[in-house]
Amino acid sequence: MPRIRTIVMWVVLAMIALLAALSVVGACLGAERARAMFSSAPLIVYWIVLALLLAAGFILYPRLLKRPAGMAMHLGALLILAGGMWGSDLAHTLRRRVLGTEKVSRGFMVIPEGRRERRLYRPVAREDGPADETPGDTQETYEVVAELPFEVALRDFRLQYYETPGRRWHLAVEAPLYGSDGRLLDRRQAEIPWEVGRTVPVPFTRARVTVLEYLPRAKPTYAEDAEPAVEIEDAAGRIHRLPARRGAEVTLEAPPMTVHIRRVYACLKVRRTGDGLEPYEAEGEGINPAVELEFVHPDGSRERRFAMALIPQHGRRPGDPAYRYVFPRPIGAEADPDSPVPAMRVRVVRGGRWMTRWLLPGRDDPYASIDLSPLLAEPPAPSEDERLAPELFLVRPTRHIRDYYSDLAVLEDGRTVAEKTIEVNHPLHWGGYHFYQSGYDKEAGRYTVLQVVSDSGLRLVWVGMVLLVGGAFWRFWGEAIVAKVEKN
Amino acid sequence: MELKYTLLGLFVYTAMALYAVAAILFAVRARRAAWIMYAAGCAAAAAGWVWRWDDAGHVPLQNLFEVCLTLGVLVFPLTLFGRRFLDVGAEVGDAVIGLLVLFPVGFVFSGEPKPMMPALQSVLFVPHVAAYMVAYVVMGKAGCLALGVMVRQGDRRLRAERDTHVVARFGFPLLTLGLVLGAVWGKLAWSDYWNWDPKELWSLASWLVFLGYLHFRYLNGRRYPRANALLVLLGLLAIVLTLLWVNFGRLFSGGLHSYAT
Repeated sequence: MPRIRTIVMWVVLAMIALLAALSVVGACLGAERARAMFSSAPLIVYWIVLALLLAAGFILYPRLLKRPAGMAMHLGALLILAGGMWGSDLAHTLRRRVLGTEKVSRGFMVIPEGRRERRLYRPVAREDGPADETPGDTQETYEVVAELPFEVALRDFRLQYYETPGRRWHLAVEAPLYGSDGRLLDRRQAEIPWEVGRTVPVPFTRARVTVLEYLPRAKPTYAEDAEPAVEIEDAAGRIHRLPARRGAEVTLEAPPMTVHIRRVYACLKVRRTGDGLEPYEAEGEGINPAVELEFVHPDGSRERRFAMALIPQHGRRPGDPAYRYVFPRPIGAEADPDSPVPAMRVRVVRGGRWMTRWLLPGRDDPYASIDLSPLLAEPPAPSEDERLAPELFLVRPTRHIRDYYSDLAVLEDGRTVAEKTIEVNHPLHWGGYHFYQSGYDKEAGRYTVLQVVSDSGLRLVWVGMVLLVGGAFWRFWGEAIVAKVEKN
Repeated sequence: MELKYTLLGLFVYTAMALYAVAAILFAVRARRAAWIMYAAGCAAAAAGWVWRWDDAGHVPLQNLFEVCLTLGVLVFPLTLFGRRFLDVGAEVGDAVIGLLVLFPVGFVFSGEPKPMMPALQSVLFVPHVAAYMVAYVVMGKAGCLALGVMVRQGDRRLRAERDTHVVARFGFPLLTLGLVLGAVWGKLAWSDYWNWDPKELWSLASWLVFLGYLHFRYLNGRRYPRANALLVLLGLLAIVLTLLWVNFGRLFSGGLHSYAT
């Protein structure tokens, strides 16, 4: 091979070796620092030299041009490099400065359900190192990097779990430890391995628990004619019981008023609207059963109150009669093949005392619990460990998320021009950007986080990849097969 | 290190034992018996693979446990292919690869199937991992042949070098395909075809070593057979590190691929 070609080939080998070594270094640095390294000035020089070498190769090695397979591979590599450089952060910045284009290379959008957004955010680089790219995980500050010429609206957000009904739930104890100042020092949780009929010690306590019965699919049973009710105690101490139904009412003498039940909530939540707070039914999203009451006074004035089953003291004002939203306590459980939750009957023994209870989770509850402190009220005196109301839990095994979806719409001047339901692996492509399902509100699923990426240079990269792969298969498989066939 | 007292464990341990016996028989040139043992080992591994697919509910390519199980099945077809179409032998090496690759399946990794995260649910999942799996087995075979180059002399060394080249060339497009499919899938799932994360960088490094090997051989031909072989072995080392780095990588820093463990 003529001198120049030999020298250039050694240079090529050195370039390949250098890139391989840099890749290893980058792998040790981690994604953020590797990205910074590969976009740094010396590496930019490297990329340009590599691209020039590839281009020069077509001139220096004319045989390449004659063999389509090798040609495809080298051209493909060149296109990938070119597309990668065209789509880089630096290229976007240069184009914005020099050509005045608006396009930004990437950013995040956070869209609450039912709202629209056009701003793109980026985390502000911190002094102490590269910014963490996922919003919401740590305390980060963000800045707006661009406003898109169109809006993206989130119509709906949905989570989908892997359903595994019938899987054994876990038995556990929690015995929190508080300091002398009342601060929580340690949650102290432990799982209790269980089998029906076996008696085991309860960690952190001197009690022992026996699982008497476990129904993998169960529903609670109630006493005859038990139903949820609102109890109202008037100034004379008499308790009036209203069935928890819309429209039920009772008239009191002292304090003089009529109490109406306006609405019954399976799970009451409150959201912020333009001029204040608005309650709404959030059934299936938590546990907060409540009843909306209306007090009508003799002078015609009306007041609204909420009676919450789990937070009885909430919202009471001076002068109010005592009111409570009471659920009938289940008296047991029975097997129900349609139920997605189990029930477990346990007996807990300590010293000479014992209690037998059912652990009965609701349909969507993550757990059911029993307070063990009644057992500890008598001698032997509670130990150090037991002093603080340990609770026994029946806990749902972790549900793995199967998928999450955002129903998005693109609006220009208020008109819907595109709609797509996106999920991980299926982005929306619009206006020169790709919109990816990146994350969501882990607390309540009320907003979605989208990662937005410019599509500049993408087509070059795809074409380059097709040429590279196609060329490789043709060169190393195709040509060998052809040679073998011609030999025969 | 814990034994798996399950049906899958039984299949895997049986396959490992058969591969070990086959390797010994190949080494002492009892070829007929060796092939029978080798084929039986593959059948046991394949039975385990199918059982795992049914048990887990997805194609067994989701994590390292399943990846290694797949590799344990693929060695045998590869050997056959090499004999028939590439005129390449070295079955001892292949059986040993089968044994080595099933070792973590039998003794190291947990066999607990996990449901697939949203990020893995894509039509590109299987082709990307499958392309890499076949490529890795092929390059493993090339590595064994490269060892032969280092160890042998004269004509047999040159023959081993030729065999290494044939197999490495065969594997290179698969390696390229795996890399590219990973980029395409990355674009769909994580918004970028390249994220500079450790696993990607190690796969790039592996690919580059083999690319360098091909250019080196283009330049120098068969003048330096041991240098050629060394490059192939370096490439294989990079592949092993690609597979295992995510486990060690927690010592350094994270990346997008950490779901694989």
